Amino acid sequence: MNDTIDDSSLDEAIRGLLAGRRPRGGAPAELHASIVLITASSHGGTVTRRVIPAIAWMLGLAAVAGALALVVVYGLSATGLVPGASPVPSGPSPTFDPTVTGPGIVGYPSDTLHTVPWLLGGVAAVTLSAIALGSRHIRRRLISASAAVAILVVSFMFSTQPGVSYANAYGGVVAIVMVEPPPGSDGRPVGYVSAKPGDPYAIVFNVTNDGAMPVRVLGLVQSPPDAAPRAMAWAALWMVSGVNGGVPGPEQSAQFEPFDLNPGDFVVLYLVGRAGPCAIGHPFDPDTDQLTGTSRDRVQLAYSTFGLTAVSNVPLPMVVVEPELDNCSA
Amino acid sequence: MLNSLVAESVDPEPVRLRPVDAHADGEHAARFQAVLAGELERAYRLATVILGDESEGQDAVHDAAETAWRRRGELRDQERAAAWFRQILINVCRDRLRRRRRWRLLEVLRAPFTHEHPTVADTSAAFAARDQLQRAFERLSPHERVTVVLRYEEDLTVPAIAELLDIAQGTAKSRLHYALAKLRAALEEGHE
Repeated sequence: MNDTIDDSSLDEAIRGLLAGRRPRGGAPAELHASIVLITASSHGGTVTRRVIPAIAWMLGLAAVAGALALVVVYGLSATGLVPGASPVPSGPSPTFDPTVTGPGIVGYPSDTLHTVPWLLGGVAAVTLSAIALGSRHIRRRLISASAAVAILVVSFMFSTQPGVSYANAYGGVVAIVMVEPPPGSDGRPVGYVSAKPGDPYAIVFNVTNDGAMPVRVLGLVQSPPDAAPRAMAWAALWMVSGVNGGVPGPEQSAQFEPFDLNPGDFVVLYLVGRAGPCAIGHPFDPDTDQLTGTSRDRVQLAYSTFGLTAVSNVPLPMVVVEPELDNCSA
Repeated sequence: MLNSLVAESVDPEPVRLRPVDAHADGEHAARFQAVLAGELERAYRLATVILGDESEGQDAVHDAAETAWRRRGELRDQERAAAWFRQILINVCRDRLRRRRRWRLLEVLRAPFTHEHPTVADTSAAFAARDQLQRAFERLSPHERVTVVLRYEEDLTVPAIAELLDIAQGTAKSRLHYALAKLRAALEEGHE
């Protein structure tokens, strides 16, 4: 074996190496054409095959970065993770009072959670896909394609968040008479409202966050958009947070304020309603009272994730029925 | 041959070309195109050998042409236009080498054709030595790599290399010396 390579062998080896690196043919036609474009004054200036893809690349990345920054900053401020904001109720709260009207009742929010991520994700994915397809560099293609897939996955995660769900405990609290499921029903117990017209009634149940992201619970939607004119209306919402299942008494509750519910955490909600003008005003007696009235078997809780709002349709663990007087014309 | 042709589309993949009046290019553009016409094939080969990739070589030539066109006012002596363009091209190649990341895959060795290098025997030992040499070449610094290419691909002397790179002859000689030492060591290791 040679331990020392002489100069001529080294020369030969280097020349062979460099010969192997030569291009297989002459300069390609597109290179000739692109060189001509550099001095093409009849098109108002220098337009090259690299400027436009570079601009598209920068604009695409800037759009994606800007959109994500907007969502994150808005979300951080909405969830109270920026200085000056508080995600939990602060200060002393009045004790449970079913005669109080207003706290925790909100209007129907826009469903931006299920539209904005797909909109932003779609725009970003299309832009990045165009960059990936238009680029001749494998690394840039891989980065753009991977980013497009990642953005679509994030959009999917956002839009499929379950929001707020019923957990495992419930009951009547004020002017509610609970009975076992009637024959032929869906198996849920019934809570008959026994309050007089205009008087409060209240039920309690707990909810949890079954998703992977924290949500901010904004309140109880007063009534769904397609509610009947005399549908039961909620008057207030009270809450007890920091529980792990079970139902603490109403005296431990506080007036509802928007709060953050982390995945797996529970919160107990006291829903207060007002008996309508046709309420029978006493415990329902199936032997003597005719069962006509209104009922509620679900509620809608408004929530947000990173500032994007949506509504959770939460089936109640019981059906709340407000029996009404016959021939009531109110 | 370069005619006065302008692409209809500015798409990266040129679609059609149409003839235009040559007078519309202007004196500068015509001179520039003439210089590039004479240098294009050589520049493409030089850039590809330095960078080791045809598409990168193509990009480097285009970048160098853009830079040269942008800085055409700096060229005082038209007789040196070709050498001036080559300097720009070499700088562009060196910049690309500096930016290149270490994890870039080495290209598969292209075995030299027999008519290019008839004395190389196609044995596994020779292949191992070439592989070591290729790796050592890829590990050279941008300055060293360019110097080796100018010496062995362009067959320039050390003084000519120094003039082209606008460096002292001693610097050119030193770079070449260290580069060859690394390559020789790699070749010796490959033959063990």
